[in-house]
Amino acid sequence: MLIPLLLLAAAPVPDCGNAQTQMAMTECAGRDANAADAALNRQYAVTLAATKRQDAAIDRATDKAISYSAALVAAQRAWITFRDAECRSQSMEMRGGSAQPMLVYSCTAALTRARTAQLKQLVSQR
Amino acid sequence: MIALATLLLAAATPTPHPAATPHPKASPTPKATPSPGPLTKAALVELDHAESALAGQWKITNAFMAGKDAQDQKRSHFSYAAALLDSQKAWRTYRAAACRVEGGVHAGDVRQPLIVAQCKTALTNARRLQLKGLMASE
Repeated sequence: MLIPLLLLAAAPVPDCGNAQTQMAMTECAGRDANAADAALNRQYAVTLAATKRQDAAIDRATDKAISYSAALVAAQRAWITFRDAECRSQSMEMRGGSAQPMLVYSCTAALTRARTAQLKQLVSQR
Repeated sequence: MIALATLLLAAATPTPHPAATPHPKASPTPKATPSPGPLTKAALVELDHAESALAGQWKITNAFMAGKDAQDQKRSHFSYAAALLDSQKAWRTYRAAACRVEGGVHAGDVRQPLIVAQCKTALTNARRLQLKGLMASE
């Protein structure tokens, strides 16, 4: 993951509203996926903080169940596993081809934005 | 591709199912009772319907992917059907974990099973559309 990120950072920014080549389209999709990932990480931090505040109210003398924050961490790990498996499945059509990374990025961005909305909704429920 | 991404985004967003039982948000928190109330029972029926619909779509999409495997001339070790199954297993684990968190918001509350059922129904309906979209994008 680190190398593609470095490559993206070093490359000149293409005109993503009018990308014509596969390389440009892939790069734009990668930038979009990274932006979605950054937004997810920001929301995850907010939601995790909310669950930790909720954990503080748990009476451990009577409640031995999993904490809210631990449940959130487990859910997020499960989501990452799902995201990777789903995007691998969705990009198989182009496996080994130059368009495969673009499909993975597009899939990742879409699922990531949906997950960000879920995490935001969790905070609004608290 | 944009259409696919939009579809996936819409499909994956956990919006409540239109027919889902309304969330009794304004009512005060009732005390927990051992048996599910009418709202929870209705939500569980809704979940059963969503599960059945997902199972039906799974058969269609899985058969579609198996057909692609049969036609695959590359004879590689990749399998569309296997990749789909991996994703579906991961989705099941994710759904359980995500809805556990949503239910946690109402821990100790009689509405907790209702919230979990509604969460699972919403994600299940979204997943059904996602599986359907996998074929539409081809």
